[in-house]
Amino acid sequence: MKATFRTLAVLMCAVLLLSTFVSCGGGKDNNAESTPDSSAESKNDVVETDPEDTARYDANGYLMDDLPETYDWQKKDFTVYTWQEMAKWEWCEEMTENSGTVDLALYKRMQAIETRFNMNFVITTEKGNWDNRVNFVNKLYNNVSTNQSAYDLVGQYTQSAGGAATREIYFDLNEISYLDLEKPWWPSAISETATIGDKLYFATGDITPTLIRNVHCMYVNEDIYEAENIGDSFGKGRAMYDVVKDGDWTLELLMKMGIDTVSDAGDKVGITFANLVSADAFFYGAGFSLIDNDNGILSISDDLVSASLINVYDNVQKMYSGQYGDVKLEEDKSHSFKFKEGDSLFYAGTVADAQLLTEKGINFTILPMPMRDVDQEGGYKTVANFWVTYYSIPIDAPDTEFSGMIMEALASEAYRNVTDVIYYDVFSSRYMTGESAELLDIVSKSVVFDTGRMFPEYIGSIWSAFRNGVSGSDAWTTIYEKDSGNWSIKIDSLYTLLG
Amino acid sequence: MKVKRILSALLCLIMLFGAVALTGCSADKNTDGEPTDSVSDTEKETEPPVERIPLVENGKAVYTVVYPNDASAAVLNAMNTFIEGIKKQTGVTLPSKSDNLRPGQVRDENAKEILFGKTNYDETQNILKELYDDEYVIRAVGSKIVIATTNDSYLKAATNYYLKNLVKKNLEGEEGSYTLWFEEYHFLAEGADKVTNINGKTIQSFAIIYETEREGYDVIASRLSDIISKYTGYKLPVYADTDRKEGECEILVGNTNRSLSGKCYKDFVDLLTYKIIIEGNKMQIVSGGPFSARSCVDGMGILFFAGEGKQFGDGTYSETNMKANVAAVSDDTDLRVMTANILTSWWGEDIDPSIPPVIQRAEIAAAMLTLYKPDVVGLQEADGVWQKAIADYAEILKNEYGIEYGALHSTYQNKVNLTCILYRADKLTVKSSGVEVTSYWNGGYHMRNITWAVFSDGEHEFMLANNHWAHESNEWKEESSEQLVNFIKNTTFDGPIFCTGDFNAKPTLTEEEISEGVFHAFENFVNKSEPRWLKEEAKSLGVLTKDMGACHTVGTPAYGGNYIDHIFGFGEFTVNKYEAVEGSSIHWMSDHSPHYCDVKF
Repeated sequence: MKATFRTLAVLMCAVLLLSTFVSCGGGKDNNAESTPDSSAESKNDVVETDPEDTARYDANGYLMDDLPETYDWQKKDFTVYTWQEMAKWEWCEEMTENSGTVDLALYKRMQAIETRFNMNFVITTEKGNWDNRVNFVNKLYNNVSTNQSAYDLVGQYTQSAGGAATREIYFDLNEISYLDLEKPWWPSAISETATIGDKLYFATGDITPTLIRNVHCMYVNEDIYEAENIGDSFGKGRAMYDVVKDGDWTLELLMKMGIDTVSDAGDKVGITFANLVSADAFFYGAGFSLIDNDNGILSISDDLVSASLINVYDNVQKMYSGQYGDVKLEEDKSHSFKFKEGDSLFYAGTVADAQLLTEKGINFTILPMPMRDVDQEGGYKTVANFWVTYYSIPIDAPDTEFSGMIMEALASEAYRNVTDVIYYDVFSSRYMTGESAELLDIVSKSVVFDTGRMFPEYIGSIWSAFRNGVSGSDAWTTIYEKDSGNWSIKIDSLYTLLG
Repeated sequence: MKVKRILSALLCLIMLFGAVALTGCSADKNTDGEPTDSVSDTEKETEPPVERIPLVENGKAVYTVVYPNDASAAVLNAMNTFIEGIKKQTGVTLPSKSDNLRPGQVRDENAKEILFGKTNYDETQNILKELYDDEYVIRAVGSKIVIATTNDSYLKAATNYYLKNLVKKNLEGEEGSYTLWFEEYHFLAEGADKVTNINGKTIQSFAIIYETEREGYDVIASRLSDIISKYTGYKLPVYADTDRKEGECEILVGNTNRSLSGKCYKDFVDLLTYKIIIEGNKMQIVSGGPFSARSCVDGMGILFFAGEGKQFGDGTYSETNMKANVAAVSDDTDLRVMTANILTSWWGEDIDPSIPPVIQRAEIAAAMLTLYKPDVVGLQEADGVWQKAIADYAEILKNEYGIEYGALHSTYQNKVNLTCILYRADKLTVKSSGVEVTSYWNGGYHMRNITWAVFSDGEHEFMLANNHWAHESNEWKEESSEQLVNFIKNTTFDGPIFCTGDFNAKPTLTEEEISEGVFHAFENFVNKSEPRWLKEEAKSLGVLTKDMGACHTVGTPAYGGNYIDHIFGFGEFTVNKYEAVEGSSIHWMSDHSPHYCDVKF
């Protein structure tokens, strides 16, 4: 499926930005200078309230949902089957001696919904990350296939969502009453990339805080940057903040600044990567995607045969395959990474790392993923990792109206009262301040989605081809020539199954 | 450790909002509309308006709860308990938000907000400056209601108390349309929600009024307010007697301008004594001075407010005499010589606010003079504050106790002389006197000198040389010691000489001090001057009745250790008795115990 006739502009329209969840708290004056925002449903828009329609907005100018103001479900249980690993970031059933601001926001969300609809949440968890995804889906499948009607809502690891969907155990969310996927808490960019044909089997957005935490980004250690005169040597005397704001943060500049520039005193290094997964972020950071999703019609992206991808691939491969002595790939899960110990100039991780870096006292600034060049269309881009929860309604749900109403309420309530707490009150004020908080806004606005990452079990190796390739010795052209035919077959098959 | 208190702001706020909290009979409320004899119409018009503040109105939330963006789990839990408790009793959920200003947001000064915990709002920060470490307060400030404590762990207690005691009583209306009125509340950590009534009036109905004619009672009144708050949860307002018209329910501290005070102070009240008198809706604290007033209010905490709630009627509830064990002068004694380091205000309350101020400690010193009647006292650390405070008692000592004291060389070279001398002016005459500079403290402002005088009682003449040796270095220790050695060597007086002082020199050094090369100033002086060390001599004679060290924590006696206060003697006399003064009050005067020696020429 050689899609050279499609333009990059079309691709970018399909891969919309996630500005709607995480960039617009307060909704009044967020700058839009970092990346274009193609969504028409950001909080920037909704706070321009119609004076005659103020009832649809809360006191802070945020859109209210169209659900009944109250509804009596007569204390009925609403059972959520969700993955255990991220549950603490999504549910707080009671405040404890260890509860924090995020817990409070999540607790208040549950309380508000339970009061409004006179129902009770029952949260059932099961291990469901990469290692446990098959078991998670199998348990659900066995339950649904025997019509147990045990669950009203399912929350799952990103890669489980596609796997479960292909086993045909989810409703098409477009058909569920009360769910309004046009609302800003269901970002259109996600819905569009997750839609196969005209069906949508899972969705995410404000309903889960995991989408804020698990976004790929980079960090710079400002102390090393200053001590090694990196800005003077390679940044035209600028701070990293200015480099980013000037639109000059590229892969080439990262390599200039980070390779063979840091003295090895104290065992310091130039660049560290949290793990191989972070290689995905360089792919998306360079503005590429795997699959074009044109209103549910899927095809392999032209990017995969572009010269610019080959160039980016080669450079990332040099870094990840150990060709440079002071560029380290760290798969250590003990949180003893060099950057977190203050011994690395740059680090590729996720937004969530900011908490630990702050606690360790690292003088850091968050950075977007570097562009492939300064002319990259749309500016900075990044991607969320797979530790984001997607929500589905199983086909044996006892009452789809109940499921739809509460799922909508969870997202709607979080849109107004959870997302900004996590984004502004925690990350951009507690873990980052000033310039770093500004750059967090750029990072968050630069998130893109890709259908190619949502059905990994079904469409084969396309989703991991880049990361696996850069850690080995194969050229990109070799990989593409070997696997692209299979990828096309799988993609067509997926469309046939779900579309 | 207390933090700085902004009393004026507190008073203003209490005036503004205290009436909201109080029920019953304070004069400025006068809720039953009956005129008060002592209140003129003009005064009435100046009373601040009573504003009732609804937290919940007609079943709708009026206020939003604001919490610190970096709130601990304890704060969040307490706030959550607060919100849910109000919801349980009113059906209304107060919204909540963090104090973090998000991009584009500006703070609405008029927004009705409950500031919970250490928010970054000015209203919170200002109140935090007033609080003790273990206090919390719930107070209205403009459009905000501040619930603050310096210790987050007490927010839970604040919340529990508020929900238990202050919601139901301030609730109006019916289910579904409740209105909840705000009630101010101030709490100290050990507080318990006890109900204490005085002649049927709850404690929160009272205001505390203090005497302004004499200094020192404002502090006592505030202390009483704190103590009542600590035990009852209610922070009573404090007023100067000249600033507030007489109200119905008042606790009077000192000889205020109220009629009950005049009645109670008609007769002289002994130093270091106090009692509590209740008549009608007035409680009067009668005391011999500020320190005994302090002891009284401290005792009131236990007597009146600790334990279960109590009911008190008219009567006298406590009377105490805190006199130390009095050591009468024996018939065969010609002279009682005393040394007393009284702890300068600069080293005392200026550094440690828990130490009573000199104006309180001076009552102890004055009482000590009336009880022990020393003929001469070598003072150390008698700074200007002390000298004024002691002088203020001179008239009482003369008129009420029949003894007169004079001071010698309070200043020298236009500077305060911390080693001045007190002497019985009604018994002794000064034949000659002088000062020799020994060393300086505090940038040269404070001097520690050898202050000397030759006295005569008509039959005998003797010299007193009062000292305060330096301790800061070996060089200074040696210099102090040598100066006294030289003074003794060079004096032409041939009668008995007594050297009093804080010598900052122990009779023996520890092995550690010896190994460190500490200069043995005591030994140097003794070896070179060969004085009589009167305590040791008394001990050998069996007349050492009490021996105590120095530098204890103020309020706590030190029975051993740092023996640096001494009385030495030269010439012909007999030691009848030597004693370190001990008593429950004396330990609050200083970090040293006075020593005295009775001698016969």
